[in-house]
Amino acid sequence: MSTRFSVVSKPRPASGFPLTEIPGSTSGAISEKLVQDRYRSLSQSVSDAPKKESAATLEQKLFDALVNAKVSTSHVAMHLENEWRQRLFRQLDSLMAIEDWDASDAPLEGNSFSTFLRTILFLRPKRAPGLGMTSTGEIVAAWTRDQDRLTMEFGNADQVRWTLSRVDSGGRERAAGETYADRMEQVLAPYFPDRWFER
Amino acid sequence: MSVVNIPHEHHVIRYASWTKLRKDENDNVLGILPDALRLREVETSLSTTWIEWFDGPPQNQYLNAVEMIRRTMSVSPRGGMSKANVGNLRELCQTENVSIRIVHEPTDENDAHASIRRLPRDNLDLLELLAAEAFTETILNRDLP
Amino acid sequence: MENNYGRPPITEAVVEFRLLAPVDANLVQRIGTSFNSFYPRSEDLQEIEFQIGPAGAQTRRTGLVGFKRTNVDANEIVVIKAGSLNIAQLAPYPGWDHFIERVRRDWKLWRSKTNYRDLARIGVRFLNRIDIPHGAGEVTFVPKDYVLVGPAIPEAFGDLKAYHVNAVLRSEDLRADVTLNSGTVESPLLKHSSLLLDIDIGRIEDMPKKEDDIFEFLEAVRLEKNRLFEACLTEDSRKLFL
Repeated sequence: MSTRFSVVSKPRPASGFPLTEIPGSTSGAISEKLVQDRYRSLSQSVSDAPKKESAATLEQKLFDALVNAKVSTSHVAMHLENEWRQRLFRQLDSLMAIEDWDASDAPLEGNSFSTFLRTILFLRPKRAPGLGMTSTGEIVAAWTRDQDRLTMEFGNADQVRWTLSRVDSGGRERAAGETYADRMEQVLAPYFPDRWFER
Repeated sequence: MSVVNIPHEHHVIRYASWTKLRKDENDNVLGILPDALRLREVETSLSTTWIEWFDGPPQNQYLNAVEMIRRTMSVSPRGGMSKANVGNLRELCQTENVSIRIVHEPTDENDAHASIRRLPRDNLDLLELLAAEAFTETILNRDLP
Repeated sequence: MENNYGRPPITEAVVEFRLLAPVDANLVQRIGTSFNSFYPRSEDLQEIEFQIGPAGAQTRRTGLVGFKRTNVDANEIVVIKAGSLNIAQLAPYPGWDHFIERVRRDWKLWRSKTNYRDLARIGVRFLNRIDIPHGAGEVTFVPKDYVLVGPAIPEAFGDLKAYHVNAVLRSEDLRADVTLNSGTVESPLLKHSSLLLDIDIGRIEDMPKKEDDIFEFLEAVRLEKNRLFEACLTEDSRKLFL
Protein backbone atom coordinates (compact mmCIF):
# COMPACT_ATOMS: atom_id res chain seq x y z
CA MET A 1 0.00 0.00 0.00
CA SER A 2 1.50 3.33 -0.96
CA THR A 3 0.06 6.74 -0.18
CA ARG A 4 1.45 10.15 -0.85
CA PHE A 5 1.25 12.98 1.63
CA SER A 6 2.89 16.31 1.26
CA VAL A 7 3.51 16.37 4.98
CA VAL A 8 6.02 14.71 7.21
CA SER A 9 4.93 11.76 9.24
CA LYS A 10 4.68 13.59 12.52
CA PRO A 11 5.17 17.34 12.24
CA ARG A 12 5.36 19.51 15.31
CA PRO A 13 3.27 22.57 14.55
CA ALA A 14 3.86 25.96 16.05
CA SER A 15 1.19 25.29 18.61
CA GLY A 16 2.68 21.99 19.66
CA PHE A 17 -0.49 20.28 18.54
CA PRO A 18 0.21 16.93 16.89
CA LEU A 19 -1.73 17.46 13.68
CA THR A 20 -1.24 13.95 12.42
CA GLU A 21 -3.05 12.46 15.35
CA ILE A 22 -6.77 12.24 15.47
CA PRO A 23 -7.83 13.61 18.83
CA GLY A 24 -9.01 10.97 21.19
CA SER A 25 -7.21 8.19 19.42
CA THR A 26 -3.93 6.58 20.06
CA SER A 27 -1.70 7.04 17.06
CA GLY A 28 -1.65 3.34 16.36
CA ALA A 29 -5.39 3.26 16.01
CA ILE A 30 -5.59 5.93 13.32
CA SER A 31 -6.44 4.60 9.93
CA GLU A 32 -4.42 5.91 7.07
CA LYS A 33 -7.62 7.02 5.39
CA LEU A 34 -8.55 9.15 8.38
CA VAL A 35 -5.15 10.79 8.43
CA GLN A 36 -5.37 11.51 4.75
CA ASP A 37 -8.88 12.90 5.01
CA ARG A 38 -7.92 15.03 7.91
CA TYR A 39 -5.14 16.70 5.98
CA ARG A 40 -7.32 17.27 2.99
CA SER A 41 -10.06 18.89 5.04
CA LEU A 42 -7.89 21.51 6.72
CA SER A 43 -5.94 24.48 5.55
CA GLN A 44 -2.39 23.28 5.92
CA SER A 45 -0.56 24.81 8.85
CA VAL A 46 2.62 26.09 7.28
CA SER A 47 4.99 26.68 10.13
CA ASP A 48 6.12 23.10 10.07
CA ALA A 49 5.75 22.24 6.44
CA PRO A 50 8.21 19.54 5.46
CA LYS A 51 11.48 20.74 4.13
CA LYS A 52 14.44 19.36 2.35
CA GLU A 53 17.03 17.82 4.61
CA SER A 54 19.53 20.48 5.49
CA ALA A 55 22.60 20.74 3.36
CA ALA A 56 25.68 20.28 5.45
CA THR A 57 27.10 23.70 4.75
CA LEU A 58 27.84 25.92 7.69
CA GLU A 59 25.80 28.71 6.17
CA GLN A 60 22.76 26.45 5.90
CA LYS A 61 23.16 25.21 9.46
CA LEU A 62 23.38 28.74 10.79
CA PHE A 63 20.40 29.76 8.69
CA ASP A 64 18.34 26.85 9.99
CA ALA A 65 19.32 27.56 13.58
CA LEU A 66 18.43 31.22 13.21
CA VAL A 67 15.05 30.51 11.62
CA ASN A 68 14.27 27.88 14.24
CA ALA A 69 15.07 30.35 17.00
CA LYS A 70 12.81 32.96 15.43
CA VAL A 71 9.99 30.48 14.96
CA SER A 72 10.40 29.37 18.60
CA THR A 73 10.14 33.00 19.58
CA SER A 74 6.95 33.35 17.55
CA HIS A 75 5.38 30.62 19.71
CA VAL A 76 5.53 32.97 22.67
CA ALA A 77 5.59 36.30 20.87
CA MET A 78 2.24 37.33 22.35
CA HIS A 79 3.97 37.40 25.74
CA LEU A 80 6.94 39.46 24.58
CA GLU A 81 6.89 43.20 24.12
CA ASN A 82 7.53 44.16 20.53
CA GLU A 83 10.66 46.08 21.45
CA TRP A 84 11.98 43.04 23.28
CA ARG A 85 11.31 40.73 20.37
CA GLN A 86 12.85 43.07 17.83
CA ARG A 87 15.95 43.52 19.96
CA LEU A 88 16.23 39.77 20.43
CA PHE A 89 16.05 39.21 16.67
CA ARG A 90 18.72 41.84 16.06
CA GLN A 91 20.92 40.11 18.62
CA LEU A 92 20.32 36.69 17.06
CA ASP A 93 21.06 37.99 13.56
CA SER A 94 24.28 39.48 14.90
CA LEU A 95 25.23 36.43 16.93
CA MET A 96 24.86 34.03 14.04
CA ALA A 97 26.43 36.17 11.33
CA ILE A 98 28.52 33.81 9.25
CA GLU A 99 31.33 36.32 8.75
CA ASP A 100 32.09 36.23 12.49
CA TRP A 101 31.30 32.58 13.12
CA ASP A 102 33.93 30.21 14.47
CA ALA A 103 33.55 27.14 12.27
CA SER A 104 34.51 24.82 15.12
CA ASP A 105 31.48 25.92 17.17
CA ALA A 106 28.11 24.16 17.05
CA PRO A 107 25.14 26.21 15.83
CA LEU A 108 22.53 27.29 18.33
CA GLU A 109 20.75 24.34 19.95
CA GLY A 110 16.98 24.64 19.76
CA ASN A 111 16.46 23.13 23.20
CA SER A 112 18.85 25.60 24.76
CA PHE A 113 17.02 28.47 23.12
CA SER A 114 13.68 27.17 24.40
CA THR A 115 15.09 27.09 27.91
CA PHE A 116 16.30 30.66 27.42
CA LEU A 117 12.86 31.84 26.29
CA ARG A 118 11.11 30.04 29.12
CA THR A 119 13.49 31.49 31.68
CA ILE A 120 13.21 35.03 30.32
CA LEU A 121 9.42 34.85 30.24
CA PHE A 122 9.43 33.53 33.79
CA LEU A 123 11.87 36.07 35.27
CA ARG A 124 10.61 38.92 33.06
CA PRO A 125 13.66 41.17 33.41
CA LYS A 126 12.96 44.71 32.27
CA ARG A 127 16.47 44.95 30.92
CA ALA A 128 17.46 42.59 28.12
CA PRO A 129 20.67 40.60 28.45
CA GLY A 130 23.63 40.64 26.12
CA LEU A 131 23.79 37.35 24.25
CA GLY A 132 26.58 34.91 23.56
CA MET A 133 27.00 31.23 22.87
CA THR A 134 29.08 28.35 24.09
CA SER A 135 31.12 26.20 21.74
CA THR A 136 28.50 23.48 22.07
CA GLY A 137 25.64 25.69 20.89
CA GLU A 138 24.12 26.76 24.17
CA ILE A 139 22.91 30.30 24.40
CA VAL A 140 24.39 32.54 27.10
CA ALA A 141 22.68 35.57 28.62
CA ALA A 142 24.79 38.17 30.39
CA TRP A 143 23.71 41.13 32.44
CA THR A 144 26.38 43.61 33.48
CA ARG A 145 25.99 46.64 35.72
CA ASP A 146 29.27 48.36 36.52
CA GLN A 147 31.32 45.62 38.20
CA ASP A 148 28.31 43.41 38.91
CA ARG A 149 27.92 40.52 36.51
CA LEU A 150 25.28 37.85 36.08
CA THR A 151 25.75 35.11 33.50
CA MET A 152 23.42 32.25 32.60
CA GLU A 153 24.09 29.34 30.27
CA PHE A 154 20.96 27.58 29.09
CA GLY A 155 20.97 23.83 28.62
CA ASN A 156 18.36 21.29 27.59
CA ALA A 157 15.17 20.66 29.46
CA ASP A 158 15.10 23.90 31.47
CA GLN A 159 18.57 23.45 32.97
CA VAL A 160 20.40 26.67 33.73
CA ARG A 161 24.01 27.13 34.84
CA TRP A 162 24.59 30.50 36.39
CA THR A 163 27.34 32.57 37.92
CA LEU A 164 27.33 36.04 39.42
CA SER A 165 29.57 38.50 41.14
CA ARG A 166 28.50 41.68 42.86
CA VAL A 167 30.12 44.31 44.99
CA ASP A 168 28.55 45.84 48.07
CA SER A 169 29.85 47.51 51.20
CA GLY A 170 31.15 44.19 52.47
CA GLY A 171 33.25 43.58 49.39
CA ARG A 172 32.89 41.29 46.39
CA GLU A 173 30.48 38.39 46.58
CA ARG A 174 30.51 35.51 44.10
CA ALA A 175 28.20 32.60 43.56
CA ALA A 176 27.55 29.96 40.95
CA GLY A 177 25.32 26.96 40.51
CA GLU A 178 23.15 24.81 38.32
CA THR A 179 19.42 24.63 38.65
CA TYR A 180 16.15 24.53 36.72
CA ALA A 181 14.57 27.56 35.12
CA ASP A 182 11.60 27.60 37.45
CA ARG A 183 13.94 27.83 40.47
CA MET A 184 15.94 30.79 39.16
CA GLU A 185 13.79 33.38 40.91
CA GLN A 186 14.43 31.85 44.34
CA VAL A 187 18.07 31.16 43.58
CA LEU A 188 18.79 34.76 42.60
CA ALA A 189 16.64 36.42 45.25
CA PRO A 190 19.40 36.70 47.91
CA TYR A 191 21.54 38.64 45.42
CA PHE A 192 18.97 41.33 44.63
CA PRO A 193 18.70 40.62 40.90
CA ASP A 194 16.94 43.91 40.20
CA ARG A 195 20.47 45.23 40.14
CA TRP A 196 20.69 43.59 36.72
CA PHE A 197 17.08 43.31 35.66
CA GLU A 198 15.82 46.85 36.20
CA ARG A 199 16.44 49.39 33.46
CA MET B 1 63.24 21.33 25.23
CA SER B 2 62.91 22.73 28.75
CA VAL B 3 59.59 24.22 29.78
CA VAL B 4 59.69 27.98 30.18
CA ASN B 5 57.28 29.42 32.71
CA ILE B 6 56.17 32.84 31.61
CA PRO B 7 57.11 35.53 34.14
CA HIS B 8 54.44 36.99 36.41
CA GLU B 9 54.77 40.50 35.04
CA HIS B 10 54.25 39.40 31.44
CA HIS B 11 50.99 39.19 29.49
CA VAL B 12 49.14 36.88 27.15
CA ILE B 13 46.39 37.44 24.58
CA ARG B 14 43.48 35.07 24.16
CA TYR B 15 41.45 35.37 20.97
CA ALA B 16 37.68 35.12 21.56
CA SER B 17 35.19 34.85 18.73
CA TRP B 18 32.18 37.18 18.58
CA THR B 19 29.89 34.66 20.26
CA LYS B 20 32.25 34.39 23.25
CA LEU B 21 32.31 38.10 23.97
CA ARG B 22 30.40 39.61 26.84
CA LYS B 23 28.10 42.31 25.52
CA ASP B 24 25.31 44.52 26.73
CA GLU B 25 21.83 44.40 25.23
CA ASN B 26 22.96 46.68 22.40
CA ASP B 27 25.92 44.50 21.43
CA ASN B 28 28.48 46.84 22.98
CA VAL B 29 31.44 44.68 23.92
CA LEU B 30 32.28 44.61 27.64
CA GLY B 31 34.79 41.76 27.81
CA ILE B 32 34.77 38.02 27.37
CA LEU B 33 32.38 35.32 28.56
CA PRO B 34 33.56 32.39 30.67
CA ASP B 35 33.12 30.10 27.68
CA ALA B 36 35.95 31.94 25.92
CA LEU B 37 38.23 30.23 28.46
CA ARG B 38 36.55 26.84 28.56
CA LEU B 39 38.61 23.95 27.22
CA ARG B 40 36.99 22.04 24.39
CA GLU B 41 36.77 18.26 24.56
CA VAL B 42 39.89 17.85 22.44
CA GLU B 43 41.96 20.43 24.33
CA THR B 44 44.18 19.82 27.33
CA SER B 45 45.39 23.39 27.70
CA LEU B 46 44.21 26.87 26.80
CA SER B 47 45.96 28.53 23.87
CA THR B 48 47.21 32.08 24.20
CA THR B 49 49.97 34.21 22.67
CA TRP B 50 52.79 35.61 24.82
CA ILE B 51 53.08 39.33 24.22
CA GLU B 52 56.55 39.93 25.67
CA TRP B 53 58.04 37.18 23.52
CA PHE B 54 58.21 39.87 20.84
CA ASP B 55 60.87 42.57 20.90
CA GLY B 56 60.36 46.28 21.10
CA PRO B 57 58.30 48.69 23.13
CA PRO B 58 55.10 47.36 24.74
CA GLN B 59 52.74 48.67 22.06
CA ASN B 60 54.82 47.03 19.32
CA GLN B 61 54.97 43.80 21.27
CA TYR B 62 51.19 43.85 21.63
CA LEU B 63 50.57 44.57 17.95
CA ASN B 64 53.06 41.90 16.90
CA ALA B 65 51.24 39.39 19.06
CA VAL B 66 47.94 40.41 17.46
CA GLU B 67 49.51 40.04 14.05
CA MET B 68 50.75 36.57 14.98
CA ILE B 69 47.23 35.57 16.02
CA ARG B 70 45.81 36.91 12.77
CA ARG B 71 48.36 34.91 10.78
CA THR B 72 47.90 31.65 12.62
CA MET B 73 44.22 31.54 13.46
CA SER B 74 40.95 32.09 11.70
CA VAL B 75 39.92 35.46 13.12
CA SER B 76 37.01 37.71 12.23
CA PRO B 77 36.60 41.48 12.38
CA ARG B 78 34.34 41.23 15.43
CA GLY B 79 36.49 38.70 17.25
CA GLY B 80 38.11 40.03 20.41
CA MET B 81 41.77 40.17 21.44
CA SER B 82 41.68 39.83 25.21
CA LYS B 83 44.77 40.56 27.27
CA ALA B 84 45.62 39.22 30.72
CA ASN B 85 48.50 39.59 33.14
CA VAL B 86 50.13 36.25 33.81
CA GLY B 87 50.69 36.85 37.52
CA ASN B 88 47.09 37.92 37.96
CA LEU B 89 45.88 34.76 36.24
CA ARG B 90 47.95 32.57 38.54
CA GLU B 91 46.88 34.43 41.70
CA LEU B 92 43.20 34.34 40.85
CA CYS B 93 43.39 30.61 40.26
CA GLN B 94 45.27 30.20 43.51
CA THR B 95 42.40 31.80 45.41
CA GLU B 96 40.31 28.90 44.14
CA ASN B 97 43.00 26.37 45.05
CA VAL B 98 43.80 25.79 41.40
CA SER B 99 47.46 25.75 40.48
CA ILE B 100 47.74 26.57 36.80
CA ARG B 101 50.93 26.70 34.75
CA ILE B 102 51.43 29.25 32.01
CA VAL B 103 54.25 28.09 29.79
CA HIS B 104 55.86 29.03 26.52
CA GLU B 105 54.94 26.28 24.09
CA PRO B 106 55.80 27.36 20.54
CA THR B 107 53.94 25.67 17.71
CA ASP B 108 54.91 25.31 14.06
CA GLU B 109 52.90 28.42 13.23
CA ASN B 110 53.13 30.51 16.39
CA ASP B 111 56.55 30.91 18.02
CA ALA B 112 54.97 32.97 20.80
CA HIS B 113 52.31 30.42 21.64
CA ALA B 114 51.71 30.00 25.37
CA SER B 115 49.60 27.33 27.05
CA ILE B 116 47.62 27.65 30.24
CA ARG B 117 47.76 24.18 31.74
CA ARG B 118 45.76 22.57 34.54
CA LEU B 119 42.83 24.86 34.01
CA PRO B 120 39.71 23.02 35.17
CA ARG B 121 37.51 22.14 32.27
CA ASP B 122 34.17 22.94 33.77
CA ASN B 123 34.52 25.31 36.72
CA LEU B 124 32.17 28.06 35.58
CA ASP B 125 32.79 30.13 38.70
CA LEU B 126 36.56 30.19 38.13
CA LEU B 127 36.24 30.83 34.39
CA GLU B 128 33.94 33.76 35.11
CA LEU B 129 36.42 35.08 37.68
CA LEU B 130 39.21 34.96 35.13
CA ALA B 131 37.01 36.51 32.44
CA ALA B 132 36.05 39.35 34.76
CA GLU B 133 39.26 40.05 36.63
CA ALA B 134 42.15 38.76 34.53
CA PHE B 135 41.17 39.28 30.90
CA THR B 136 40.31 42.89 31.58
CA GLU B 137 41.31 44.44 28.28
CA THR B 138 39.42 43.26 25.21
CA ILE B 139 39.65 45.02 21.87
CA LEU B 140 37.84 44.00 18.72
CA ASN B 141 40.10 42.80 15.96
CA ARG B 142 38.62 45.35 13.57
CA ASP B 143 39.54 48.19 15.94
CA LEU B 144 43.22 47.26 15.94
CA PRO B 145 45.66 48.42 13.27
CA MET C 1 -8.73 37.00 18.42
CA GLU C 2 -8.20 40.35 16.74
CA ASN C 3 -6.54 43.62 17.52
CA ASN C 4 -8.95 44.49 20.29
CA TYR C 5 -6.94 42.09 22.44
CA GLY C 6 -3.57 43.35 23.59
CA ARG C 7 -2.11 39.86 23.44
CA PRO C 8 -4.13 37.84 20.93
CA PRO C 9 -3.54 34.12 21.48
CA ILE C 10 -3.11 33.41 17.78
CA THR C 11 -0.06 31.28 17.14
CA GLU C 12 -0.74 30.88 13.44
CA ALA C 13 -3.22 32.28 10.91
CA VAL C 14 -3.43 30.71 7.46
CA VAL C 15 -5.30 31.48 4.26
CA GLU C 16 -5.12 28.67 1.75
CA PHE C 17 -6.02 28.67 -1.93
CA ARG C 18 -6.15 25.16 -3.31
CA LEU C 19 -6.19 24.62 -7.07
CA LEU C 20 -8.50 22.39 -9.02
CA ALA C 21 -5.62 21.42 -11.33
CA PRO C 22 -1.99 21.79 -10.29
CA VAL C 23 0.50 23.93 -12.16
CA ASP C 24 3.63 22.33 -13.55
CA ALA C 25 6.86 22.07 -11.58
CA ASN C 26 8.78 24.64 -13.63
CA LEU C 27 6.10 27.21 -12.99
CA VAL C 28 6.22 26.48 -9.26
CA GLN C 29 9.92 27.30 -9.36
CA ARG C 30 9.30 30.58 -11.20
CA ILE C 31 6.48 31.56 -8.85
CA GLY C 32 8.72 30.84 -5.89
CA THR C 33 11.40 33.14 -7.21
CA SER C 34 8.92 35.93 -7.87
CA PHE C 35 8.16 36.13 -4.12
CA ASN C 36 11.80 36.78 -3.31
CA SER C 37 11.47 40.47 -2.53
CA PHE C 38 8.75 39.86 0.07
CA TYR C 39 10.13 36.64 1.49
CA PRO C 40 13.90 36.55 1.07
CA ARG C 41 14.41 33.18 2.71
CA SER C 42 13.47 30.02 0.92
CA GLU C 43 13.33 26.37 1.91
CA ASP C 44 12.61 23.50 -0.41
CA LEU C 45 9.64 21.31 0.42
CA GLN C 46 9.79 17.61 -0.26
CA GLU C 47 7.05 15.08 -0.60
CA ILE C 48 7.08 12.09 1.68
CA GLU C 49 5.84 8.73 0.55
CA PHE C 50 4.54 6.38 3.21
CA GLN C 51 4.73 2.72 2.44
CA ILE C 52 3.04 0.30 4.75
CA GLY C 53 3.85 -3.32 4.14
CA PRO C 54 4.71 -6.54 5.92
CA ALA C 55 7.97 -5.03 7.13
CA GLY C 56 6.12 -2.15 8.72
CA ALA C 57 5.83 1.51 7.78
CA GLN C 58 8.57 3.13 5.75
CA THR C 59 8.97 6.66 4.52
CA ARG C 60 10.77 7.86 1.44
CA ARG C 61 11.36 11.35 0.12
CA THR C 62 10.18 11.45 -3.45
CA GLY C 63 10.99 14.90 -4.70
CA LEU C 64 10.61 18.62 -4.53
CA VAL C 65 7.01 19.75 -4.31
CA GLY C 66 7.36 23.43 -3.59
CA PHE C 67 8.87 26.20 -1.57
CA LYS C 68 8.34 27.65 1.84
CA ARG C 69 9.41 31.28 1.85
CA THR C 70 9.74 33.44 4.94
CA ASN C 71 10.46 37.02 5.80
CA VAL C 72 13.55 37.97 7.78
CA ASP C 73 11.73 37.59 11.11
CA ALA C 74 10.40 34.15 10.08
CA ASN C 75 6.84 35.05 11.08
CA GLU C 76 5.41 35.85 7.64
CA ILE C 77 5.34 32.75 5.49
CA VAL C 78 4.15 31.73 2.08
CA VAL C 79 4.08 28.13 0.88
CA ILE C 80 3.95 27.66 -2.87
CA LYS C 81 3.16 24.23 -4.22
CA ALA C 82 1.86 22.93 -7.51
CA GLY C 83 -1.59 22.55 -6.04
CA SER C 84 -1.87 25.35 -3.55
CA LEU C 85 -0.84 28.72 -2.19
CA ASN C 86 -0.75 29.12 1.59
CA ILE C 87 -0.14 32.45 3.25
CA ALA C 88 0.50 32.36 6.96
CA GLN C 89 1.22 34.64 9.84
CA LEU C 90 2.85 33.42 13.02
CA ALA C 91 2.66 35.37 16.27
CA PRO C 92 2.66 38.25 16.87
CA TYR C 93 -0.55 38.58 14.88
CA PRO C 94 -0.73 42.09 13.46
CA GLY C 95 -4.51 42.10 12.98
CA TRP C 96 -6.76 41.03 10.14
CA ASP C 97 -6.41 44.23 8.08
CA HIS C 98 -2.67 43.86 7.92
CA PHE C 99 -2.85 40.13 7.29
CA ILE C 100 -5.48 40.25 4.56
CA GLU C 101 -3.58 43.03 2.80
CA ARG C 102 -0.60 40.69 2.54
CA VAL C 103 -2.86 37.85 1.41
CA ARG C 104 -4.26 40.08 -1.34
CA ARG C 105 -0.79 41.17 -2.41
CA ASP C 106 0.46 37.58 -2.58
CA TRP C 107 -2.68 36.32 -4.25
CA LYS C 108 -2.34 38.96 -6.98
CA LEU C 109 1.29 38.11 -7.56
CA TRP C 110 0.59 34.39 -7.60
CA ARG C 111 -2.33 34.82 -9.99
CA SER C 112 -0.31 37.02 -12.32
CA LYS C 113 2.20 34.19 -12.63
CA THR C 114 -0.29 31.37 -13.00
CA ASN C 115 -2.90 33.22 -15.08
CA TYR C 116 -6.36 32.25 -13.98
CA ARG C 117 -6.82 28.94 -12.24
CA ASP C 118 -10.03 27.50 -10.85
CA LEU C 119 -9.96 26.94 -7.13
CA ALA C 120 -10.91 23.70 -5.46
CA ARG C 121 -10.94 25.08 -1.94
CA ILE C 122 -10.50 28.30 -0.04
CA GLY C 123 -9.74 27.92 3.64
CA VAL C 124 -8.99 30.11 6.61
CA ARG C 125 -7.49 28.61 9.72
CA PHE C 126 -6.62 30.18 13.03
CA LEU C 127 -4.65 28.27 15.64
CA ASN C 128 -4.92 29.79 19.08
CA ARG C 129 -3.13 28.76 22.23
CA ILE C 130 -4.53 29.93 25.53
CA ASP C 131 -1.81 30.07 28.18
CA ILE C 132 -3.24 29.77 31.66
CA PRO C 133 -1.00 30.71 34.60
CA HIS C 134 -1.02 28.43 37.59
CA GLY C 135 -2.19 30.11 40.75
CA ALA C 136 -0.07 29.94 43.89
CA GLY C 137 0.52 26.29 44.61
CA GLU C 138 -1.85 25.17 41.86
CA VAL C 139 -0.78 22.88 39.10
CA THR C 140 -4.18 21.93 37.77
CA PHE C 141 -7.04 23.89 36.26
CA VAL C 142 -10.47 23.23 34.88
CA PRO C 143 -10.41 23.59 31.08
CA LYS C 144 -14.06 24.56 30.85
CA ASP C 145 -13.27 27.62 32.96
CA TYR C 146 -11.45 28.89 29.88
CA VAL C 147 -12.69 27.09 26.76
CA LEU C 148 -16.25 25.94 26.26
CA VAL C 149 -15.27 23.06 24.02
CA GLY C 150 -14.43 19.80 25.69
CA PRO C 151 -15.28 16.18 26.13
CA ALA C 152 -18.37 15.00 27.97
CA ILE C 153 -17.03 12.32 30.31
CA PRO C 154 -18.83 10.74 33.25
CA GLU C 155 -17.49 11.88 36.61
CA ALA C 156 -16.67 8.28 37.44
CA PHE C 157 -13.48 8.71 35.41
CA GLY C 158 -11.96 11.21 37.83
CA ASP C 159 -9.82 14.26 37.05
CA LEU C 160 -9.24 15.20 33.44
CA LYS C 161 -5.50 15.27 32.69
CA ALA C 162 -5.53 15.71 28.95
CA TYR C 163 -8.06 15.67 26.14
CA HIS C 164 -8.64 16.39 22.51
CA VAL C 165 -11.85 17.21 20.74
CA ASN C 166 -12.28 17.23 16.98
CA ALA C 167 -15.56 18.26 15.39
CA VAL C 168 -16.65 19.11 11.88
CA LEU C 169 -19.65 21.34 11.58
CA ARG C 170 -21.49 22.98 8.75
CA SER C 171 -21.98 26.67 8.08
CA GLU C 172 -24.79 26.94 5.57
CA ASP C 173 -24.43 30.71 5.36
CA LEU C 174 -20.86 30.34 4.12
CA ARG C 175 -21.47 27.04 2.36
CA ALA C 176 -18.39 25.88 4.19
CA ASP C 177 -17.27 23.26 6.66
CA VAL C 178 -15.99 24.36 10.03
CA THR C 179 -13.41 22.11 11.64
CA LEU C 180 -12.87 22.67 15.32
CA ASN C 181 -10.01 21.22 17.31
CA SER C 182 -9.48 21.85 20.96
CA GLY C 183 -7.45 20.21 23.65
CA THR C 184 -4.60 20.36 26.05
CA VAL C 185 -1.14 21.12 24.70
CA GLU C 186 2.25 21.41 26.29
CA SER C 187 2.76 24.97 27.41
CA PRO C 188 5.84 26.82 26.19
CA LEU C 189 5.73 28.86 29.40
CA LEU C 190 6.84 27.80 32.84
CA LYS C 191 4.11 27.38 35.46
CA HIS C 192 1.38 27.59 32.85
CA SER C 193 -1.00 25.13 31.24
CA SER C 194 -2.16 25.64 27.69
CA LEU C 195 -5.23 24.86 25.64
CA LEU C 196 -5.48 24.76 21.89
CA LEU C 197 -8.39 26.25 20.00
CA ASP C 198 -8.03 25.61 16.29
CA ILE C 199 -10.75 26.80 13.92
CA ASP C 200 -10.64 26.04 10.22
CA ILE C 201 -13.29 27.24 7.80
CA GLY C 202 -13.06 25.84 4.29
CA ARG C 203 -15.27 25.95 1.22
CA ILE C 204 -15.18 23.47 -1.64
CA GLU C 205 -18.43 24.22 -3.48
CA ASP C 206 -19.75 27.18 -5.50
CA MET C 207 -16.26 28.54 -5.55
CA PRO C 208 -15.93 32.27 -6.14
CA LYS C 209 -13.95 33.09 -9.24
CA LYS C 210 -13.52 36.86 -9.27
CA GLU C 211 -11.01 38.44 -6.96
CA ASP C 212 -13.62 40.68 -5.33
CA ASP C 213 -15.84 37.69 -4.66
CA ILE C 214 -12.96 35.70 -3.20
CA PHE C 215 -12.03 38.47 -0.79
CA GLU C 216 -15.64 39.13 0.05
CA PHE C 217 -15.87 35.48 1.04
CA LEU C 218 -12.72 35.78 3.15
CA GLU C 219 -14.22 38.78 4.94
CA ALA C 220 -17.32 36.75 5.68
CA VAL C 221 -15.18 33.92 6.96
CA ARG C 222 -13.32 36.32 9.18
CA LEU C 223 -16.55 37.49 10.83
CA GLU C 224 -17.68 33.92 11.31
CA LYS C 225 -14.43 32.68 12.81
CA ASN C 226 -14.45 35.67 15.19
CA ARG C 227 -17.99 34.83 16.23
CA LEU C 228 -17.13 31.19 16.75
CA PHE C 229 -13.92 31.99 18.58
CA GLU C 230 -15.73 34.27 21.01
CA ALA C 231 -18.43 31.65 21.47
CA CYS C 232 -15.78 29.18 22.63
CA LEU C 233 -14.32 31.45 25.31
CA THR C 234 -15.12 32.35 28.87
CA GLU C 235 -14.57 35.71 30.50
CA ASP C 236 -11.63 34.25 32.44
CA SER C 237 -10.06 33.35 29.15
CA ARG C 238 -10.59 36.79 27.61
CA LYS C 239 -8.89 38.42 30.59
CA LEU C 240 -5.72 36.57 29.67
CA PHE C 241 -5.50 38.34 26.31
CA LEU C 242 -5.87 41.92 27.59
